[in-house]
Amino acid sequence: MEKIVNFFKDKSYGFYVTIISIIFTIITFSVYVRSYSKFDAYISWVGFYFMVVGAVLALITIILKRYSWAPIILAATNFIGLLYFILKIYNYVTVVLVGIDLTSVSATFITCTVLFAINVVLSTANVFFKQSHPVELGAKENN
Amino acid sequence: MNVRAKLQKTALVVSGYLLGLMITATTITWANVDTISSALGQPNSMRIDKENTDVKAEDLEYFKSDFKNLKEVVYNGFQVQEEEQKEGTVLLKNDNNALPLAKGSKVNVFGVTGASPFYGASGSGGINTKEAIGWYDAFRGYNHSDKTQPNASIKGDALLNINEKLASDYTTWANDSNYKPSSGASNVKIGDVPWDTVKTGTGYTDVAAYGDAAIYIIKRTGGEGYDLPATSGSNAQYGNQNNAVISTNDGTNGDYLQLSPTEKSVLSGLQELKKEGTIKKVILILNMASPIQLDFLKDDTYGVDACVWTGSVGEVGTVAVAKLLTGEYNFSGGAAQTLWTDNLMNPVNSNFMDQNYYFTYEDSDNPEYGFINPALTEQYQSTFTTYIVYQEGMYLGYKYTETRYEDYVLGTKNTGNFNYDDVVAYPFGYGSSYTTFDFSDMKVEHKNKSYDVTVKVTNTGKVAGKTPIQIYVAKPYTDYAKEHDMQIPSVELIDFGKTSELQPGASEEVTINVNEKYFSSFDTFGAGTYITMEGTYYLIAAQNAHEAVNNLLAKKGKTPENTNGKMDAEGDKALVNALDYRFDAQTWSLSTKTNNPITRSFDFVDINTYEGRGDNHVDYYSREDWEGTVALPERSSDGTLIKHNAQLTVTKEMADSMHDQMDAGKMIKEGGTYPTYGADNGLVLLDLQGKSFEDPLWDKLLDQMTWDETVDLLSNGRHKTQAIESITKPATGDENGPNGFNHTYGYASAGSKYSGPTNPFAERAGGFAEDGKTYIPDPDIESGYTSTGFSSNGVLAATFNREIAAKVGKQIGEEGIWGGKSGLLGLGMNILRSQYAGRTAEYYSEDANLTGLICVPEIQEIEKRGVHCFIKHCALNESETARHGVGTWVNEQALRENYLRAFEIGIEDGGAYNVMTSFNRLGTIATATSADFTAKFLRSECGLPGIVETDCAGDMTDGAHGEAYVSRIVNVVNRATDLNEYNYGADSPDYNGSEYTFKSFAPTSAGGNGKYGNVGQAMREASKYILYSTLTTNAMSSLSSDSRIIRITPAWQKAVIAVDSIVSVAFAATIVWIVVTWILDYRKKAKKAN
Repeated sequence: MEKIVNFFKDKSYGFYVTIISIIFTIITFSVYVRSYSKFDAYISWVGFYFMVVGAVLALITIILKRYSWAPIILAATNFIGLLYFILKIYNYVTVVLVGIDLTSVSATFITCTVLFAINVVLSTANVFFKQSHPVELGAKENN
Repeated sequence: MNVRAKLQKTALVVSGYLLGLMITATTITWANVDTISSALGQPNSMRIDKENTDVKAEDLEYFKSDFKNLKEVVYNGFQVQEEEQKEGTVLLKNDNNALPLAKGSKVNVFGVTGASPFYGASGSGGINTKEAIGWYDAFRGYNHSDKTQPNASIKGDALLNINEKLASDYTTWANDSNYKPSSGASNVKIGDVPWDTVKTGTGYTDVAAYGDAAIYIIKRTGGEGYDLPATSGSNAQYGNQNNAVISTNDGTNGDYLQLSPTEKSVLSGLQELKKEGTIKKVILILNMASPIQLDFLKDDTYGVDACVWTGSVGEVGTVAVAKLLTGEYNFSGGAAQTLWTDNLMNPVNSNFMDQNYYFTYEDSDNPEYGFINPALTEQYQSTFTTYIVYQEGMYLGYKYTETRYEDYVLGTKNTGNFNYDDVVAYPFGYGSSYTTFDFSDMKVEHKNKSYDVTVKVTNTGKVAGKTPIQIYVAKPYTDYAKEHDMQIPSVELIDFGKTSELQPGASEEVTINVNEKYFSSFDTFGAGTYITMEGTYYLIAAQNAHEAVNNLLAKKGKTPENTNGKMDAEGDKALVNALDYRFDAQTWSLSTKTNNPITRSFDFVDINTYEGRGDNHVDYYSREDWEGTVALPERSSDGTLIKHNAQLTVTKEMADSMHDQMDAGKMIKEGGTYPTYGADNGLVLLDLQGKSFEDPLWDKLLDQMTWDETVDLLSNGRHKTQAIESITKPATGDENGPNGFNHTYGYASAGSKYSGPTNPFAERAGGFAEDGKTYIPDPDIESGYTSTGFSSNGVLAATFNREIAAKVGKQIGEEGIWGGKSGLLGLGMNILRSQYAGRTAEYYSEDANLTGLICVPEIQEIEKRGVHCFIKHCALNESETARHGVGTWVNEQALRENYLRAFEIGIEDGGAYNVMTSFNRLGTIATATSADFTAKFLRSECGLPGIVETDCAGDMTDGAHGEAYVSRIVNVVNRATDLNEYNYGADSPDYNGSEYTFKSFAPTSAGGNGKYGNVGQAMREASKYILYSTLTTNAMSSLSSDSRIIRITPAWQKAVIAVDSIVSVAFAATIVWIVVTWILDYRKKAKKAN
């Protein structure tokens, strides 16, 4: 119990945002892959893998106590994931805009778009958040 | 963190994100470069003319316009469209001369359609409606009658005085989501206002004051991408991925083509008002291309006094209808499709309505088939798993109703009890008028492979009018036919004419030249070609198909009396001419266009003859056994449908066929020699003008094209063809659609002003400068004028008037010239197989001969103006449900006589230069990739001179379902398709998931392995067809042999490159900044440490 309390003692609010961001990343790529895995035209596996790797690396950096790297990794991989999402999903948006085969966007599309957007905003903002208190930081952290 | 570090972090994030976004944006825009350029009106090519040339611009107009300026064009369009609607509107019912209404009558107009007309369809059949005149304004007397300002809606004398308060109520209701009709792939609603609500409106209090008549206008819409629902419930008709319930609608039992409960409430209300004397009569206007079932008219359920079918009315069709209602014009249209009493009595609908026919599987898992049984998953897999069988065979529309009627009257065995009135409300060709006509003195004269049929028509009524004369052939249903599985309908329309306007008592002898070719039938299992049989053929003149059969029966000695009342009216045997024929399998075995043999070619489209059919077999409808073969759809007590459709089971051969045809790696073999690329022969495309397709000079010209130019030409064909610098081929603009153009005039659309115009008229309209070489722009070219929005094509067919069709064609052609368009992605020459088809407004008729023949003058006039028609979608594109790759099965006789015939006439007689092939499969083979279909039918038999294009390939590359079923590369290599109507940028992969591009098969000089010369040759042939077609379009106008075309980078692309550069520099600068300061900090720290 004491270990846990000690672990969190030196953490700033940014660290908690990082945890939330990791969870959000996992939710986003899970929803994305569940929604579009059967549609080659609309899913970017590269984007998906970037986000998975980003979440895993972020966790690893936390384990290694390189707290300041986690938000940077998350921001970069989530943003790249978003770009790949756009690269593929614009085909779908085009179909809707043409208005023949589809006349309105689906709830799936809206859900994924919102998740990607929140994910990127959250992880990007977190880059500027303090992850831990410098005073109590070890030599490895100077954020 | 210090300030500098924060700044660096911010700069890195901002510049990095901007760079990422720009890379993404650039990737997307570069992949769609031509689409964006077209949308922005920034062409990628430019014409350079030799300075000080003596050539006058006027001499370079290879296709002349009949108009002096754009206003004349626009004005003429309104006049032609009104004339089309005038002659194509069909008067179905007019009890006690309810019509015409006296001019100025005080009337109530009911229905939200009054405020929201059905002008035209959605999707490719969409039309301009910006200047459309609505129902109310048409009744008020508005029209486009001022030549000097054609778009101005000018108020003339009111034709009818309408209850304005009621109109105001409906205008409000028409925008209320509770009542507003809607349509679309996932949102079909009939709408309208229930009678109880109507009575609460402010206008209802004035109903009695406008009691001369109640005009109730109802509509049904439709369009590309969806068929019309016949029931509510869970189905996959709209292609939703989870087969979810989405077709719930407000129709009776969810049937879009019946009166809805709301409409019934209004008609009941009007009936009450009539009974109590508040209104004198009820007039119903059917503003729809897809007619509803008319049981309520047949039964007189609501006391409707008069009923008019208008189709979709285009921009000013309402004006024509208003004039028809008030007697300024007289009706002369005849229905181009059977109007059913009950749509369930149309046997086609067993294999159509709410189509959701998935192959059954021999084994539910079937992993070796390569696709998933949709019954076991949520996945939507239309491209591989849906099918439709044209089980009716030859007995489509009136060919069913009239044939079974004749057999019923004649007491033929297995006909069953066939009550014609329960089936047909108004027969094919039917149309009433304010006057009556008598046909007499029929004469038939045999000429070279044709007959001159002369009929004397007398106006026996009291007002002037005109009428169609329909000529039918009755072929003998011989033992030979029965032995060889040929089906012979009772009567078949083979030609038609129309009188001039006849005054009361006046007569006119109308002579119609009938092509004897249409006496022949396709004998699949005997001679394997078109034959005439030994026996008596009859030529019949009539005012509709049912009258034709009764005339035939009369000729055979039948009367209502001697048939126990089975025959429902006397026929006129004097309008029937008997002709004896001998068996002949030679005369019509050769194409009348190319003289090439016509042979049995489509075993792969008939499941009974397809090699990989396994145990599949379909019983097509047969005159031998109506009761045993016809299975009508039924409606269960809960309103859902029970359809006795043909059931097919997928076989391994079928599955392999569907997979293999889209696998370029499997389909394309090594071999062959590449053509020459990039030769310097000094030719330009214009040098080939007047040369035949076989002229050897073509090879020299084609040798000049580089590999990259060839790829660019074949990879970017969405509504255009690319410019080619090496041979000075101009870009062409090809535009929708099936009902005529749908564009706004302007420089951008013509690609002129900034580049070599596809046609000079777009900028010459102001005339020529004094030097005679340069144009003075028409000040109206950018004033927002639009092309004409024509009525649905069924209206044009219903005119039965070739002159009107020619006028429409001329107008479309002129609009191509003035709009800088040299290709029309139309006409829509598929067949109205079922009234539930989404694209009904695009198609002409249920009859292939009427479709083909009415299109001939229309196509000719379009083509005359250097606008090539891409008649579409050839063939069997009669439904929208699961249109991407739905397997369509039909026997060869029906395929040829009921479907291909329309296209054949359009190409051979109309001179249609190009064809757009269909979305569906022919059996298992996607039409776009069917070598046999293009080579044997389009090229060899019809002699199609130009481009075979498909719009299915691109659609599937990035389409809604994201599931490819063709390969654009294989399409070309099979020589089935010349141009995939989509933009693939530089040479993007075949489809998502494919590894193949054209470059995969390139010569070594273009970075390939050089092993696929056959691919190079196929690409060259496709290019040749595109060039040959371009050469005979108005796109060549303004080009002289001194002109040159150069490719340019559009301004927007330059802007994107500029932004890319700035962002890249900013990012790089940020990185440098961070690295430099890091190094300096490091050194500083190191120095301090030391």
